[in-house]
Amino acid sequence: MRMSDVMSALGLAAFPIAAMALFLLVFAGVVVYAMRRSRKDEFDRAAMLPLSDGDRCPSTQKENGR
Amino acid sequence: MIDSAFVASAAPGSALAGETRRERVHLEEYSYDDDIVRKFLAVTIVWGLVAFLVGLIAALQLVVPSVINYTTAGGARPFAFLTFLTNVPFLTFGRLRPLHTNAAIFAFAGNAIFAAIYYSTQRLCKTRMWSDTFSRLHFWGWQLIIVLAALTLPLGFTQGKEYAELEWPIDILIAVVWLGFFGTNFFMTLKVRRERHMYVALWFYIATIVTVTMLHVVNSLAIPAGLFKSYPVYAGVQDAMIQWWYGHNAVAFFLTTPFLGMMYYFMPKAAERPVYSYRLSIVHFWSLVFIYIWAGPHHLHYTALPAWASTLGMLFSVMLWMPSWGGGINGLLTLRGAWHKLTDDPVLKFFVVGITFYMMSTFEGPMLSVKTVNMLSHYTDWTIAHVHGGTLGWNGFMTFGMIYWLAPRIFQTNLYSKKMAEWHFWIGTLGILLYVIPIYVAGITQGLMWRAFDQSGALAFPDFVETVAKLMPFYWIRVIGGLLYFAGAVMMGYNVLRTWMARPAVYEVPILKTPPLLPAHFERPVFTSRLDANTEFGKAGDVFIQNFQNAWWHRALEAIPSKFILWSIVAVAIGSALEIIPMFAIRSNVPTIASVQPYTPLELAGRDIYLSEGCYNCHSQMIRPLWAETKRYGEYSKPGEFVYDHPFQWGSRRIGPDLAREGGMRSSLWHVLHLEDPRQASPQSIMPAYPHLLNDPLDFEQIQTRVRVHAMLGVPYGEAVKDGKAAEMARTQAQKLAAEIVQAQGPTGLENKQIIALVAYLQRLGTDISKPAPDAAAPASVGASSPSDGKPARPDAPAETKSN
Repeated sequence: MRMSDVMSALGLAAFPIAAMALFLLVFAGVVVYAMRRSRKDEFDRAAMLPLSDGDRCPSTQKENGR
Repeated sequence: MIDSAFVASAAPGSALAGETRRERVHLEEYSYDDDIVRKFLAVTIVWGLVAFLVGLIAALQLVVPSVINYTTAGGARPFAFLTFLTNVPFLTFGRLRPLHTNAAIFAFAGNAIFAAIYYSTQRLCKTRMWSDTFSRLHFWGWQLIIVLAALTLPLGFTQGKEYAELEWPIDILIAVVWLGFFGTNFFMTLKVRRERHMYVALWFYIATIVTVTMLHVVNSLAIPAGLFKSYPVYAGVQDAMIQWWYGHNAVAFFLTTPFLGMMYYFMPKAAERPVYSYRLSIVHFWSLVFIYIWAGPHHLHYTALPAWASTLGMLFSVMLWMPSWGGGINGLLTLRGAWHKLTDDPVLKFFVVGITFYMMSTFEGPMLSVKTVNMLSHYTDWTIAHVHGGTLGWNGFMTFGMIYWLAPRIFQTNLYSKKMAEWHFWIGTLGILLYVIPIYVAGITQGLMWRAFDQSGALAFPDFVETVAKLMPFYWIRVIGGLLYFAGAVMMGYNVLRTWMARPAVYEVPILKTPPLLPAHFERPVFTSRLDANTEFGKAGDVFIQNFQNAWWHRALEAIPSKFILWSIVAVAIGSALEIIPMFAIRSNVPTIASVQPYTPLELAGRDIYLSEGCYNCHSQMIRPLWAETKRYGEYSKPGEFVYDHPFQWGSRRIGPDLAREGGMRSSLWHVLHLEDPRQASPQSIMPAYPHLLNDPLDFEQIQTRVRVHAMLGVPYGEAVKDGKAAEMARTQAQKLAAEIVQAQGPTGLENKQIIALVAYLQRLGTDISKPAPDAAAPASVGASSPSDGKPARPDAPAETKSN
């Protein structure tokens, strides 16, 4: 008996279907999480992150330019 | 100078407890490494120009053969000087096309991704990159890879799998540079970050690094047979499955997720307002990561891939449409209340059109993955138009927008010419339209011609070359479109060069100050059931629901990047494993065919030439079970026919006819003449000429190693693995075949030339299935199988297949 005989007997063909159901559930979970009202403040703050590059000190360094 | 201050900590961890802690914290000083961004930006432009130029040459190569033999009334051939585009070995379409795709994806888009990641990650994490040395090793390592690719691909060193052509030493180098230098540096930067929340762009970068590593390593597993030759461990159907799992997800995780990260960072920057909906971006991210990994098999509809896998691929592809559009709309609506800025900001123009192309491509992709649409579109230029809408429109325009936004900032001066950037935008947009629209028309035209029948039920266009000649006007318009796009990029190069020349004598490096990130403290809330009269199970369920709703677990997860990374891996790995393992494990997926035997040593050598010349770029070896195809090419392809194909050569585009049943269709002499100059056998052909194959000697001694590697991979070569045996068998077969060619009034002295191996391979293709099973016949061992007498091997071969 070869390994592939064993694997063939496992009924793995149902895997993809089961996995799809699993993934749909995960998707629903993510939507519920993201849409919860209590997350609003946190998300509003997170959304502003690209617009703040950090507070600058008055001093600067120099780097090889021209 | 202030080095400590009272800071109101607003980290999510403390927000959880509903309090604002005020405490004395030390402010850490740091600066950003913009030098590495400048480096990556510069090479993005350089390699972008190379990629577009090679693409332009490849586009010319598809039209030039139709005019080189054009003769005026006076007998002059005004276009004959262009012949070099069709017969110089290292310049042929089959070798340049992989160079074009690799340069566009890994050199142009790759370096653009790195520029975006190095600029945004430092700012989103409020820290310098973890290691400047690793940043440089990444930069120089990646450039070395690109140079090696640019040298080896034209020389014909290839693994013969689309977008994964690079040979094994370069593959190892890619793994080291990508994960070892880039990945390590990135993840360590996340670890030392000073901002608790990882912005959504960083999530997309994490998914990119993790998934590309997995795809690259799994798809590139190969056994070397010399420094520049290797054979993949997978064969046939399995190899096809792995390859398109890789190919599709290279699009997903190299050309989509990092560019979405770029969109989520640079679009708010350019629009000067936060992304439209952060919530939508979270849904966008998780949906893409979970769904994309499944969609690969839609590249293999109606092939020998089992139907369940291809249906699954279709289903997940259609599911991808909504999150993709959600993300695209999210990007566009970031401009809410600021649309007027579009009128005078070229950066926003590029972004808006780029995102629009993202939405067009992500609508078209699911549509093309529907089997009935795919039946028409597959193997045609529709695919080519689709990917160019994506790369030129989405990847190209997002990159150009980013470059115009970054250049004045990292070179600390004004952009040399905003007007020139505006011109680039309009010329580029026109270029894309002139590229994709004719190619859509070409694709649909050819697809319809292939399946057209006349009133008597015969193929309306039995000669394949008719369906190619019809496309020439569209191919010429494509050349113009490509030229415009290239011209726009040249303008950008000049614009950035002049901007760089106006840089200050020294760059100012701002010093920033931010409090360090305190260790996350999570007080996991304790819930009690709100239910009075219920079973213990019901109460436990209520506690579970409250835990889920509170989502403390997600904050905990998010705060620890290693766990977040782990979840991303789980998401992509589970999807991959569940789809791929059954393909390998269930034997009924690939029914074996008793009469299918390994290639003879000579045919194997011929197959290597086929790979090396990149024939798979234009010829498929996969007849779909559709009437129009079986009528044109013969019996449809079976999974069991490919069990010895390392790698598979099913192809994805038919610029020439399918070759799956080529064996015995035409005489060997016809093949020799056709390869020497296709136009002497078929005047309208646009195939490159391979006269060098008639002169270059075949290295018989090398075949032994190649046979042994195949034997190692489980191909039953029997006697042929013994010392010297493979070469001996190859010589015997070569002499027999060469004698037949001489007998047919063909050229002499071909028995030790490369062409003899290639012809032997072509004459073998698809013939095994009509032979008796080995136990019924004489011991049909390797070496006695090539029908090379020019007669059709199968009595049922349809007359229509004689296309020339």
